[in-house]
Amino acid sequence: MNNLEQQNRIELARSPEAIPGGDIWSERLTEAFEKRARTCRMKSYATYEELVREGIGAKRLLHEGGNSTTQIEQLDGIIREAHDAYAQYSEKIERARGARVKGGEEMKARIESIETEIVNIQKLDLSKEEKQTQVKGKIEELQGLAQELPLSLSQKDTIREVSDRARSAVELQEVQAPLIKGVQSVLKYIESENLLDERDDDLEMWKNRNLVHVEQLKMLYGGRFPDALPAHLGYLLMNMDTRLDQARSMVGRTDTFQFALKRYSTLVNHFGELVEEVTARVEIAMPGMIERVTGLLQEKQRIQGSLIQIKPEQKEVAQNRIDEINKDVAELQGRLRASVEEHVRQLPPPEAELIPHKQAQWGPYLTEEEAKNAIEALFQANLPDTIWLEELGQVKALVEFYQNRKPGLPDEMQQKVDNKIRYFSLKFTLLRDKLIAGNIISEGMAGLDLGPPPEIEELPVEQKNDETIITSEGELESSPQDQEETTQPRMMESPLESEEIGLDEEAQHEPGEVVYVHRPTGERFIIDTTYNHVALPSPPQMMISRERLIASLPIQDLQKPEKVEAAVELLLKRRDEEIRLMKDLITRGPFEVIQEILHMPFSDFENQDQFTSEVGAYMKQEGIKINGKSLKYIHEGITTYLAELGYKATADGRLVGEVLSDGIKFRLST
Amino acid sequence: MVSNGDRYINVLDEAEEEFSSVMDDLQRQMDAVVLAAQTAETERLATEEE
Repeated sequence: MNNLEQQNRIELARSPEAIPGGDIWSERLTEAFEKRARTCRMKSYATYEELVREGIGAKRLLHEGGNSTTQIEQLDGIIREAHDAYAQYSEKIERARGARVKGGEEMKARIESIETEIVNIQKLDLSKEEKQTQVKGKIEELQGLAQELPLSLSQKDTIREVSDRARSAVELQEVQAPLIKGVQSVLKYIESENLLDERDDDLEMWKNRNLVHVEQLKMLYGGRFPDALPAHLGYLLMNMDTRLDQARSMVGRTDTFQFALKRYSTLVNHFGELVEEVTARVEIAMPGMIERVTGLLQEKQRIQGSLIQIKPEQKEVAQNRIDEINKDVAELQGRLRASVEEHVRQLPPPEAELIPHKQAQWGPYLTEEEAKNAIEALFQANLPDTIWLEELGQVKALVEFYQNRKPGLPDEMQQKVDNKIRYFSLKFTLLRDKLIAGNIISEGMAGLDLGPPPEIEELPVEQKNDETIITSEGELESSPQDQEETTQPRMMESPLESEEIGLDEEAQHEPGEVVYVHRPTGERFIIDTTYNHVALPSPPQMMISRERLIASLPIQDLQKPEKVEAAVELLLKRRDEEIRLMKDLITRGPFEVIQEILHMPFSDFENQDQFTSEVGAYMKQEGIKINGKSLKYIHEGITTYLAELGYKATADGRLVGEVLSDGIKFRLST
Repeated sequence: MVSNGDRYINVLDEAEEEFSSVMDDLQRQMDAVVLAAQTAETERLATEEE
């Protein structure tokens, strides 16, 4: 690089777009501080305002009641103290703000000065090594300043990691670019920190909204809450807790968090509507009753709060009043509870998505149409494709889980499991069709066979005749004869491959049956049909169709070397086909990362840790969100597939395939 | 180690905590005054009835 080029790079680095400077860092700090200050101030002001308002109200009542001026003066004193306390609090906030602004200014000035110093180091008449050492020192200082920002520990770790990467790059004599990237990555994470705050706020908001309704229901339901709640409300409460926990655990993951929040907020809304509905009905059935109970409970709370401060002779009066209130409330709440139970029974059942999975079943509980509507309503959520892909994998895994669990269970359990399988199969089919329609997955890659859903046994005969069974292919089958046909597992149908290997599409193969597959060129392969499909670990893109497996299974009956060559050729073709499919996926968006994987030396696949750290770092750098678990799946998926093709990676990064024929091992190497 | 950034925000939290405890105390005092007034009123009415 000549001087002019170097100068240009430095200038580029100095431009505001290329290298965010200290002012942005300082801005982030300001934002975090102001946000917290605003929240604190609002909360405190609300407390203060409520107290003062209550005090003024009490004064007026005492005045109207002709009470002694002593008590009114006492209230005046309390109100004055509240004014003073709030003024002092405001002052403290202002002082903290002043200190922060000063600190922020200092930090900004220092960061800007470091940038200038780095640029100046480039201009110095020093050896390359000396320049690198100096720049490394500056990066360390930047890293130290980043530690001053109000970030979580994990994000500080990330900053450290980014700086380490920048430092390694410095050692590779690429000074400026990695520094810019490092700083940009740090800023990206700082931004995501702000996002995290917002997400916490979102959850908090929904939680608080929910609490209002929980309290309302608690008041109606009395001391037996929540154990004795009608099942309908009990399930909802339990499910909301689960969803809230899920959403909390996903705060750091953009896509899945949105999904979890959506689910939680839907439940909260639904629960709120139910409680309002029940309250309104109870109100009509028992006018004024809710108000009476609320009033009594408030009075009790007030008395309890004052017990420690009143004179001993007044204590007995207060305690007697509390006892009276308890008695009245118990009696009134007993009547309210009966009314709530009656009205809850009259409400329609919640939609499938709003109740726990163990209830998410049609048959006795929901009709298929209701389940379908509920699932489709869920799809209305405007979420990124990656979430739906993840969901597809999860739903499929659930179906398979229940299918595996079913054998050997008692009859009544089997029926329950059947309901689950039916529900999740429907969800899978609908979701898969949605993804195909949206061009998110290709039909070929979506050819996952779940097997037919179990028949519904618990419905009355007249309903059963009209029942629409949804096959694994997503088709609606309405006649019993058609249903019969779908009980045989169906394979994914890929016209290209079926034609190429001469597979008889009409034939129904029993598991384990030996089947001959003919290629148009005349070769005949013996295959094993034990597997209907090979389900690699999710994500679903890693599913491999039965046909592709068939074509890559060990070839046992080839007698001549030329046939082995043909087999090897086929093997290679299959691998290329798989890569083509992967590339197809890549161009569709969510798994751009595979593109990078495909360019990695295959030896990297052998070490999963190395794989995940390399690919993870790449994705982080590119701003692609993916978690470690998905990376592990991708790794497992690729290695399993390669192994099934008969390939393994060698230490020097080549890919080696082995084919056995008459005891002779034929080797193929990339 | 607490960073400067955390420290600035901790000041806010501490101020809020302190304020909130003062408010709780004032609320208790106010409840006691109101209860005392109510009790006195009840006693006065009872005496009048007698």
